[in-house]
Amino acid sequence: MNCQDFEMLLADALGGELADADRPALEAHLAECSRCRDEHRSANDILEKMRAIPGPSRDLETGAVRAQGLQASAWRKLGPVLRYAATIVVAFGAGYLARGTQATAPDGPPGGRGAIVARDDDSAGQAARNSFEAALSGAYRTQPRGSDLAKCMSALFRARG
Amino acid sequence: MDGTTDSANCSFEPYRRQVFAWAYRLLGNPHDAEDVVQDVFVRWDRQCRGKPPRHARGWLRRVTLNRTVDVCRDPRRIVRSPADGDGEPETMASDPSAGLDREALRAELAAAMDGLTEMQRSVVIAKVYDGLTFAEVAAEHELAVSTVKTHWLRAIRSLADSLKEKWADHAHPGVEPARGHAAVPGRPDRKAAL
Repeated sequence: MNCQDFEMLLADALGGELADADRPALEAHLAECSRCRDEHRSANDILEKMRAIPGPSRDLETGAVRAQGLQASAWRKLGPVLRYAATIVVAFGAGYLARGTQATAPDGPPGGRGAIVARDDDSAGQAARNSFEAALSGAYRTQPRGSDLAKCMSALFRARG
Repeated sequence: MDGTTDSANCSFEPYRRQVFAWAYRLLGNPHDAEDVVQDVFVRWDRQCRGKPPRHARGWLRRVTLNRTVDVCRDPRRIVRSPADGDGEPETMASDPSAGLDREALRAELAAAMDGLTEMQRSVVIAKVYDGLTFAEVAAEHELAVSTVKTHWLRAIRSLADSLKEKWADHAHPGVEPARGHAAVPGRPDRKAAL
């Protein structure tokens, strides 16, 4: 048997499906071919170690899945509503940021935090956008598991502040 | 359940635990695995609204593994160690060095899986952790058995190339073989795989 013909036997052996009738042919080729023998040994070693990596315990799996089930069913029901709400929040947030770039009259309300006098160029608007982007990047770093909506809102408030 | 899906029985619930288990195998912490479950659920829901996948399990395994690999690649991901308390209970109770060794193996395996094709990843997980036969995997993916075996062999060769030297340094984590799995390659216990 040549090495090419041996491949299917090797696949069966590594997959735990080698027929008893094929075992003598497998062992005969392994005895005479060092390359295939090394490959067989190395592949078996890898598979042993892979199988030794444990999966989740039953409690972990069941608990996490139970919590996920509640979350998922609630999400399904609220999904369209939340998407609509998210759109409103982002729109208000963008408008709120934009208001901060408008000029304020000298005797108007005292410039609150973030009040920026409008200029002929868009540098104030760009500064606001940069501020938001920096805050959003920070939110992704510090809240890796928070939802994208939560990160966006957090970034809006930080940028505005 | 014969494994085929139509829009009438396109429910994610029967597969949720399995999806979690697939993700957990490579990620090692329940929070990341839950995130993957959520992502896969969204994709499943979207797919079912259009054309439900004919073989749910195969489709879910591929999507789960793809998403798991994406999570592993994410530079923002915080990799948790058993010392963080997010490891599985048996890891915390056992020898810490064995736990760290297993976590290192898991991370290296996840990185090596990134180098496989989508089909190779699915076949490897199906064979190693789900205990499926080549014929069962072929049915799931609507492929010939010989094609599945070819994917399997190429995947194992690729993993061996990637991991042989790295894993040569690791002590054999055979302190606690995976539930139901023998220490030598054979057909994994299918009951324990789930």
